[in-house]
Amino acid sequence: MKLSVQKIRRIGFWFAPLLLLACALHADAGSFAEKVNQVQPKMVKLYGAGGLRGLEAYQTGILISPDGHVLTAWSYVLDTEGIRATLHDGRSYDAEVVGVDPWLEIAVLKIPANDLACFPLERAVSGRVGERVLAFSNLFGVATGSEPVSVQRGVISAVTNLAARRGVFQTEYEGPVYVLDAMTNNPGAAGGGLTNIDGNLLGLLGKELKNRQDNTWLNFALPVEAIHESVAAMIAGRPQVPPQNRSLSVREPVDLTKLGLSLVPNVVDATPPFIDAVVPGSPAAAAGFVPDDLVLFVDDVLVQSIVDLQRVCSRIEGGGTLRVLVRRGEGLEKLELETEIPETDLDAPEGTLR
Amino acid sequence: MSWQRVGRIAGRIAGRIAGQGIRATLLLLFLCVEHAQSEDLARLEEQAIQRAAASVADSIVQIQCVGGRRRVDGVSLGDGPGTGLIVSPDGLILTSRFHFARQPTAILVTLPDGARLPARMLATDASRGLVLLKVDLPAATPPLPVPKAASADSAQPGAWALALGRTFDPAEVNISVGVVSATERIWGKAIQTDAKISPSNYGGPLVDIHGRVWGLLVPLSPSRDGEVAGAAWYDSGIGFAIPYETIREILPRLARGEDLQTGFVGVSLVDEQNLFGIMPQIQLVHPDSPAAKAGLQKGDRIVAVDREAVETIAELMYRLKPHLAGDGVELLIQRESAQFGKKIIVAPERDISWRKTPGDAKKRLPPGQLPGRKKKDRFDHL
Repeated sequence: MKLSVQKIRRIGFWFAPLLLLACALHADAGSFAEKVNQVQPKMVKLYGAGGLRGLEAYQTGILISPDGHVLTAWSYVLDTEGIRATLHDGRSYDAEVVGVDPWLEIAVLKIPANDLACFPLERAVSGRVGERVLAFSNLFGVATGSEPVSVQRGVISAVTNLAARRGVFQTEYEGPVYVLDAMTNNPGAAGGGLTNIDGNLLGLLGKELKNRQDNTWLNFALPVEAIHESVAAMIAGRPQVPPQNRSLSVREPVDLTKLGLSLVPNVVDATPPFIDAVVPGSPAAAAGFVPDDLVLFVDDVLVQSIVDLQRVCSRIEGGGTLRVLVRRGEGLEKLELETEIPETDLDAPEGTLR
Repeated sequence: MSWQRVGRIAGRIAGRIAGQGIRATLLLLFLCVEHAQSEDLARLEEQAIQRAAASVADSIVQIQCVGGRRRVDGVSLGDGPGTGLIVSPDGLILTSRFHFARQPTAILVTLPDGARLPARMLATDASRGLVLLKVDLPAATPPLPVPKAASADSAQPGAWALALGRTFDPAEVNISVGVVSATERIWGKAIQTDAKISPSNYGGPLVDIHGRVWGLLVPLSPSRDGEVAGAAWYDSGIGFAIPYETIREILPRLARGEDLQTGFVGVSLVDEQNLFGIMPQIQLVHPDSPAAKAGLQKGDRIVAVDREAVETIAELMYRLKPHLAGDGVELLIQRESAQFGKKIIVAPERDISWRKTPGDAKKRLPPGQLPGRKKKDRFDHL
C-alpha cells in the first residue's frame, strides 16, 4: 500500500517537469528563438571612432575564441585607441586591435575576458543558395545599452564571386560572398554574424556596398572559409600576405591595334565596340574578324563599350590566344585571336585604339 | 474479505499507476514528435524553397545588353545582366522592359546550359512593363522548357512566394523568399509580394512553393509610366508581378510584333488628386481623344465602366487602367438628369492632343513638356 502511494507520488514527480518541458517546447515550436538565444552571447557591439558627418561610431563583432578574440570588419570605427566592446549582457571591455587584413577588409580584436561563448571558426559551416539564415548585428545602433544585437531572417539568395567582374563593387575584396535577400547591410551591421537556422556560423556581414552592375545596395556576408586562414594568421601574429596575382602587373598587354584590329571612333559615352577595319594579313584577319563585327565577350568577360574593351585588354598578357565572341548580323561568331604580335610591324590604321 | 478489499484497492492503484504511466509515455511520445516537427518544419520549408527554385530554373535565362544610355529618367542604369523567362519551346522569352531602358545595341541571352544566343526584341507591353524577346535556336536544339503555371486563384495573400532571377551567377538562379502580399494591385494589373524585387530579378518569375509560375517580376508604379517607373521601390518589400493569365492573353499579340500600350479615354477629371472623395466628373475632354469622338462633354459624370458602378476616381482608375489601347470600353454617362451608355475604343497616349488643365497651369510646366509627360506623380489624365 505505502509503496504504491509512493509510486504515485514518484510519477507525479516525473510528470510535472515533463509538463513544463512540454510548455517550453511548445513555445519554441516553429521559431528560431532557441538558436537565437544561443548565438547572442557570441556577438559583441563595438564602439569606436566616427560620429561625425554621418559616419556611425559603432559596428558589430563576433567572438571567435573563449579568450576574447573578436572578428569584425576593418573600418574607420577601429581607427582609435579607445575601442569599447559590449557583450550581450552589458559587460563592457576595452578592445585592442590584434591584426587587420586590408585585402579582406577584416580585423581581429581582443578583449580581456575568459570563458566566453564563441564561434570557433574551424567549426563554421558553409551555406548554399536557398538556405534559410539568421543575421545578427547592431544595425543602426538600435541596441544602445546592455542588450543583445538585432536579429533578421532571410535566405541565401546567391553565392557569387565579387571578382567575377572587377570594378563592379566598391571594395578591395574580390572573393566569394553570400548574397542575402534580407536587408542586412546597414550602418553598424558590418562585422555582424550570419548563421544558419541551427545557429552555426556561416559568415561575417560585410560593409555597406553598392552593386555597380545595377546600382542597388548589396546585402552580403563573407563566407568563413574565405577568411579563416587570414584570421588564424592574425591571431598567430603572422604578417599578412597580399592575395596572389594582385601585385602581378601585366607587362605586355594585348594591343588590338598591333594585331590589326581597329574600332569605330569612340565618340559617345559607352560607344559599342564595333570593328571598323581589319588589316589584311594581320592576326585579326587570320582570326576571321570582319568590319561591323560587334565585340561582345573577351575571354568570357562581357564588354559593354570601347572603353570597357580597352580596359579588359589592358589586363590580359599578350602572347596567348584570346577567345572573342562577336555579333555578326543576326548571329554570333566565336573567334580565336592569336595575340603574338607579328615581326613585321603593321601600319596602324587611323582612328585606332590607344 | 479483508484480503479481497486489499486486493481491490491494490488493483485500483495499480490501474491508476498504469494509466498515469501510459499517459506520461504518450505525452513523452507526443513531445518528441512535436519537437521533431518544430525542428523539421523550418528544414522542410527550406527544402521546399530549394526544390521549387530548382524545378523552374531551367526556364530562367540570363539577359545581357551591350551599348546604350547610362541614365534614364534620373535613374542610373548599371551594366548588370537581367533575367528572362522562357514562354515558348521555340525561343520566346518574356522579360522586364527595365533592362532595355538604355536602348542597347545588342541583346544576348544565356540559356541555363550556358549556350549564348543573340536575341531580338519582338514587342513591348508598355502598360505592364514587359518585353518579348526571340532567340533563334540552332538546329538540333531540343525544345526549351516552358514553366508550369500556378492557378490564378492560388495566389492568396500570405502564401509563400519565391522571386527568382539569374543575375549573379549564370549557372544558378538567385532566390528571394517572401509571401504574396496582395493581388490586383497597380489598378488591378499586378500581384504584390514582399520578396525582394530588384534589377537582380526583374524579368524573372514569381513562383509558388511548388515552383509553379504566378507571374513575371517587373517594376511598377501606381502613379507613373515609363521603363524605370517603380524601380525606386527595389528591395523595399513592395514588389510586383504581372499575372501569368494576363501574359497568356497578350502573348500572341506580342509574338506577332504588336506593341501594347495603356488605353486612354482622353479626359481630365475635376479635382483629380482626390482619388477617394468624389464622383468622377469630366473637367476637360482632350482633342482627338476617344472621349471627344464619343461626344463626351465637360461636366459629364462617369458612373459605370463595363456595367460596374464607379463612385470614386480610384474605382474608375481600377476599371480603366488595365485596358490596352484598342480595347473597347463601355462607359455609363450621367449628363444632368439623363443617363446613357457610350462605347469607346481607348487610344494610346500619343494619339491624343493633351491640353493643359487648370491644375497644370498652376504647376507651371516647363516649356515643351506635355502634360502627359511629367515626371511627378499624377493621376490627372485617363
